[in-house]
Amino acid sequence: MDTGKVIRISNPSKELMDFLKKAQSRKEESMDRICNKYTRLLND
Amino acid sequence: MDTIETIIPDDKGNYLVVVLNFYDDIDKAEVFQIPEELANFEIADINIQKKQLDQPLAPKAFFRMCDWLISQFCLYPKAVFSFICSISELGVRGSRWRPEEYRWNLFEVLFRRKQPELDSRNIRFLDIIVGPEGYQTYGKIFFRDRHYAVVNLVESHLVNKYV
Repeated sequence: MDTGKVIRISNPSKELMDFLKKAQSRKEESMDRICNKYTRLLND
Repeated sequence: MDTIETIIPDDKGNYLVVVLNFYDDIDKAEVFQIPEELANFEIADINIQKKQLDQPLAPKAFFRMCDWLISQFCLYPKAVFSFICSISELGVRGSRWRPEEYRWNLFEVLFRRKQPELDSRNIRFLDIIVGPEGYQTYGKIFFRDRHYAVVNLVESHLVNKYV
């Protein structure tokens, strides 16, 4: 069920952009760690 | 932050690693302004990474990923899933889209295929675009029909407070 709706925040505050940047950074670190774990598991 | 993770093979030697990161109570209260009476409402962010970045991935892995995400969504009846598109390089040659736009469009195409199933389960999705032209962060939100009011509440908070 698609709402066809788009939430647009064209002028986000620094606070929101900082949160998104932090989330991106946390995501990359977390994914690198998890991918390395699976690399080790698959290679064993 | 609680996580659920899986690894999805494409049967040709490559894999997708898919992780759900559930936001903790502090983020839910402070960032999304979820009211206390809805404290058991959950927000999970979807993270996806191709394991061998320099190798192609068969579409089968993406189709399986969609099935896995829908199955997880069904396991968490009080959850909303978000997907904030990563800005890291894709390694796709000749794309006219920026990496985050490519991911956003790929997700759109993949979940359009599942539209009948999403409809039958009353699962909605909507797009979120944050930032001025040329510097945008793209995302998608998956939620149940009955949680529309909560999503509107969060949207209102993000749009009004954070502008």
